[in-house]
Parts: sequence; structure tokens; C-alpha cells
Amino acid sequence: MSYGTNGTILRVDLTTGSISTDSFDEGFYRRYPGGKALAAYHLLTEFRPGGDPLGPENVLILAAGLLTGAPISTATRFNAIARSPLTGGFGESEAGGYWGPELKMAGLDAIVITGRSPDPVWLWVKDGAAEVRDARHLWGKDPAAVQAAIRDELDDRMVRVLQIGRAGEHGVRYAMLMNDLRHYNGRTGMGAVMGSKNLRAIAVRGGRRYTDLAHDPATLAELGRRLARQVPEHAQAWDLRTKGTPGLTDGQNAGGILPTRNFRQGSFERVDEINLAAYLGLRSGTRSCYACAVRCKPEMAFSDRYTVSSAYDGPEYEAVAGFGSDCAIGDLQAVARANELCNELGLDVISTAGTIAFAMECFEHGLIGPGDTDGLELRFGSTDALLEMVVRIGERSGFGDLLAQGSRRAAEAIGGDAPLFAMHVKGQELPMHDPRGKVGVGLGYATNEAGADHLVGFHDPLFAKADSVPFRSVADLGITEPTSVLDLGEKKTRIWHTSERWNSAEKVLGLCFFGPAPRSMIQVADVVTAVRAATGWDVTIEELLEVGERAVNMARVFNVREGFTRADDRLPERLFNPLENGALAGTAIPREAFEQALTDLYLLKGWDPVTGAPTGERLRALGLEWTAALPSPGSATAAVSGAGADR
Amino acid sequence: MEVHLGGHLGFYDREKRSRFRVHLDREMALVDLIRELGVPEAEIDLAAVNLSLVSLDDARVGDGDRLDLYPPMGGGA
Repeated sequence: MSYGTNGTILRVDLTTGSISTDSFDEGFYRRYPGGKALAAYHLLTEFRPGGDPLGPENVLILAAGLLTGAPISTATRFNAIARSPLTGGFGESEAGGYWGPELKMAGLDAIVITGRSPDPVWLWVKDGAAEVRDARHLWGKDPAAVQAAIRDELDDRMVRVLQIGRAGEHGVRYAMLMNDLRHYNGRTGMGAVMGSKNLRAIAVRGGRRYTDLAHDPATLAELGRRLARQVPEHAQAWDLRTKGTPGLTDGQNAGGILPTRNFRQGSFERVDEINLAAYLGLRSGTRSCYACAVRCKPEMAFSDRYTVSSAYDGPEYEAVAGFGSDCAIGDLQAVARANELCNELGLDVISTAGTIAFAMECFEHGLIGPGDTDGLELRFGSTDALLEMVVRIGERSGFGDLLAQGSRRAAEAIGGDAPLFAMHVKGQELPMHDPRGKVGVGLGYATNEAGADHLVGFHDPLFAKADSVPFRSVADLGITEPTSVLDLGEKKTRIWHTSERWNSAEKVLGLCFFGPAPRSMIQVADVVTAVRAATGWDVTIEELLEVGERAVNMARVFNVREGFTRADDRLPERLFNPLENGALAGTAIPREAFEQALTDLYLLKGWDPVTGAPTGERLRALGLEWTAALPSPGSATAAVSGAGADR
Repeated sequence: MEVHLGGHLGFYDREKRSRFRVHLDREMALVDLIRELGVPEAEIDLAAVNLSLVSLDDARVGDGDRLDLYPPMGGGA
């Protein structure tokens, strides 16, 4: 192959132990080049509608992006996609690191995993061949020990290990995947899906180079060299390297949108104890993903009130705000320890923090008490309760077993006003960005097929000023008129639609959101150059946007098939009520304007504004008319079982 | 006065500083100080003087003040 792909995927049926490969032609790859698009194709065509997310029938697909492994900064990502046990809909999560590039070097674009092994196993993939190995001795162990044992068994320190933790083994609905211990597919419970298959780890090693796959390796290499010079000199790269994502904490607080006490407030009175200055006092260094000149991954190690080792990634902004302000914890050491516990156990930081903040509010309102929480005083600000709760969720012990189901299910079980305190969309907990201060992010939370996610489109402040670097960088995408962060009119929905198509394209190409426009270390034209050099295809910006839109529509078709409608594209009620404090005190999302913006967005997308489903016309325009012939839940023959299949 | 350049704004300081002090002989318009600091106005999303948000258009600052400037903020990880 010479269009940036291997043309080959690996299929593993863990019930039978059968392993095979499958090949696809160039025409197929031009429509579904990699990552989200490639994985969504296999999920749509191979998952039986209505199947249990935690049953052997779920299909877990791990797919590298088209450019993943190319020698250019930020081309590191791969997608994990399956039916989500947290939302019941399209589950997806991306991660960087080294595992995705190694998969491409091993001669594969994706791995499709079905079935359930009778005993714990791990999968060894080398240069396109694979074997299932015994993991009974690894089950229940810490990830660091598992990675070391696999590398010892193979006598190869450079093997890249993707794995779950005990939370995934136990079926916590928001368990994550991790690779190299430092890079996390956090969201939508892909770790629980892998654990339900009795699959602890996938180790990969390959001998290829991306330039072997590229149509024009010389141009690609030259682009890579230019970006390696330019990227470190970019202001955004400087910011991410010297401060990292926790550089956001002070500004979010100043702007009144730092989620505090389960999104009741937007400003935290103890922010100085979790802010950037506190963070830099604990950070011990930074690390990089494959071939990336940004070097933003934080390393943290200290031994003081708490002890944190450098074996795992240090806390990013989402952990700082999630365990810090949102749980009212003014102690960054405790936040870092909670983050480390999530990594040791294999838990998604955002959903763990959001679910605990929800439970803290229930406790303070008397909906639950010490008799429910095994004696824990689960109040806002209690570091001991926070840390103990993280462990109990990961181990599914005591009250942790209920919270391991996520805030939506826990709220239904607790009853009363509890559902009003569950800050989720489609069952997935909100990231640490309050849409009351950037309403476009709220459109993304509401409409995203995988539930609340902050990486669906551009955050509103990035396109609020005409002369800013981020805004000027998206002119090539057709975004030429700025609009305010609180605007919900036509300008906002048009920009949002374009940004969603672009971000989705990045998920298909395998690019990190921190690289290309609007972060703009990498220009839109550079992305087009990279794809042309990799593939030899005469692609345009519009074709890349359409690739992204196609992937979004495949995810939407999946959800429609599982019974989702516009009614599921709904923000938590709290966001339509005013913030209690901070610079935006009294600000709420205007409900009618938001509903109108949703309608406008559906029409732009070519979706039915009543049902939220893609129209046949739009599906035909995207080359997805074949999805109409897929089986529906009613035509499925097997019974649906398990608590996960409740949608 | 105390100056904090949040996010990537510290990149525009000649010494790449994010927190430093400057001495002001007299009260001045915030936009004039920002120009002297070399920070592009278009890159500033929020400005706070003594922890209260202000408008770049009409705010003034003096030597005893604390100034926080923040760029447009996107998503975290």
C-alpha cells in the first residue's frame, strides 16, 4: 500500500480464539481513512443492534488515524470505539502516546475484537501476526506491574502495551484504557468493554516506518522537519510545554467558569491552592508523545502529605478542576493522588470526579447519609472521603459499586432530587468547562453522540476576536466572522458546525487537537499537505471536512438505531439556572435560544429537527445510503441482556 | 505593580515571564501598559485589575494594582 495505510485490519474473536486479517481497497479508505471513520464503519456493520455493551457481542475497535505514525508533531492518536456501557450509545475515546503509531508500524490500521475469552488473556501483536496469551497471572495487578511483566515475557523494553486496570476488570462503566501507563482513552467506558472480554492488555511491536506507507515520503519528511522547527517556537506550544493544560485553572476561575461544587458555582474560593503556581510547585518534568515537538505531558512525583510517583501521567486540567474545585478540594497534593489512583485503577478522571461531586451534593442535601456510604462523610471539601471513594469505585466495593454505574444510574437509584444533581449528557459526566460561559461548548455537549465531551468543536473564546491568532488560523475553513462567547444565533451554529466537522476530521486523521488550527501550531494547509503526501490523493479542505462529517453521521446513525432521539440531546437542567458566584454570577443558558440553536444546527447538518436523525438526503450526499439497509433492533434475532442494554 | 500573563501570553514577554513586577510612575490606560508589555491586544480575552474583570477599552491601572491577563481558553486534556 502507498496511501498512508496498511490496508489491513486484524480480527480477533476471543470466544473461539480465532485470529484473521481483512483487507480493504483504496476506494474504501478514501471514504473511511482511519480512526473514528474506520472504527465507526466496523461498529455499524458488525455490532448487532441492541447488543449488550458488556456482553461478548460488543465489538471493540482500536483504529489508528490515517496520519498516525507520520513523522509530524501531534500525529499520534488512535480511537477506541464500541457501544458504550456508560451511555448505551456510540462509545469513543482517543489517546496519543506511542501505541497508535506502533500499530501502524506493525502493519495494521485497526484491531476488531469480538467475543469473550473464558479466561483472562492478553494479545501479542507483532508485524501483522497475533497470538492470544494467558493473563491469569496478570489479572488484578497494577498496570505498572502488568506492563513490566509483559515486557519481561517478551524480553523487549520497547513493546507498547495498551491495557485496562482493575476498574476495567470489574466493569466500572467509565473504566479507561491506557498505553505506556501515561496516555489514556478516558471516556465512555472502553476499559469496561475490554475487561468484559477478559482481555487485559494488547502489546504491539512493528518494524515498519510510516514513510514506507506514504505516497510521497520526501514531502512528508520535509513537512515533518519544518514543523519540528516551527512548533516549539509557537506561543501555544510554549504554553503547553511550560505550563500544560493546568494553565487554564486561573483563567477559568477569573472568567467565572471554573466548575465548582458540582457546577453550582463558577469560582472557587481556594483556587490559589490548586492553581498553576501550586501545580508548577509539584510538577517534576514533561514528556512527549511519538514524534511530537510540543512535549506537554506532565510528570509529577512527590512525597509529602500524600505520595505520588512518576509511574503515571500527572494531573491535567480536567483532573485539577474535577477533583479540585468541582469537589471543593483546595489541596493539589490530594488532587494529584486522586488522579494517580484513577490511573492505577484504570478510571476515567472526568467521570470519576463528576460522579463523586454528584454524590457529595446528594450527601449535603441529605439524600444519602453515612448509612449509605459505608460511614464516609462524603461532603464537599473532604479529601479523605474523596480518596477513599475513588478506590471504592475502582474496586466496586460498598457504595462505590453504585457510583461505578455513573451519575445517571446512581441518581435513578437514589431517587428524589438526585437526578437534578447528576451533571451528565446521555449518561456521560460533563468535562470541566461550564457552557454558561461558552455556549457553543454546550451545543457540543448536548449533540455529541458519545455524550458530554469538550473536544467536539472549538471553544467559543477561540473565535470571539477577529484579530486573534486562533481566529485567523481558521479562515481556511471558511470561518471569517467572529461572534461572542454567549451568542446562540446563526453565526454561532455555523461556526460550530464547521468546527465539529474539522475536529472530527482530526479524529479520523489521528491528529491531536492541540496541534492544528485553531491552536494553529499546524496550519490547515499543512494538514492538507500531509494528507496529500501520505495518500497521493488530491484532497481539498472540503473533502477533509466531509470525511469528518461522515464519521459524525455514522455515529449518529448508530445512536438512532439504539433508540436515541433529539430528546437525548439535552443539557443538565442546572445549566439553565444561574451560576451562584464568580464573574458570571446570575448567568444561565437561555433555554429557548438554546433549543432554537439546536434546531438551526440540525438543519445545517441535514438532520431532522424533530427526531435528530440524519435525513436520507444527507446520508446519500455523504455516501452513507448503505446504512439504511443495516438491521434495526427490531430485526435482531438474539435477546438483549444485561443492565447495560437498557436503552 | 504585579503583572500576571496567563496562558501563552507570557510568550510575548521578552524574557518569557508569566509573573513579574513593573513600576508605574503614574496611573495610565490599561491598553497603553499592554502595548508597553508587548502583549498583542487581540490575544487577550480577559483582563482583571485587583481580581475584578475590566474592559480593555476604559480601564486604568496604577502602581499598587495587580493585573491578570488571560488569552482565549480552549479545552483541556
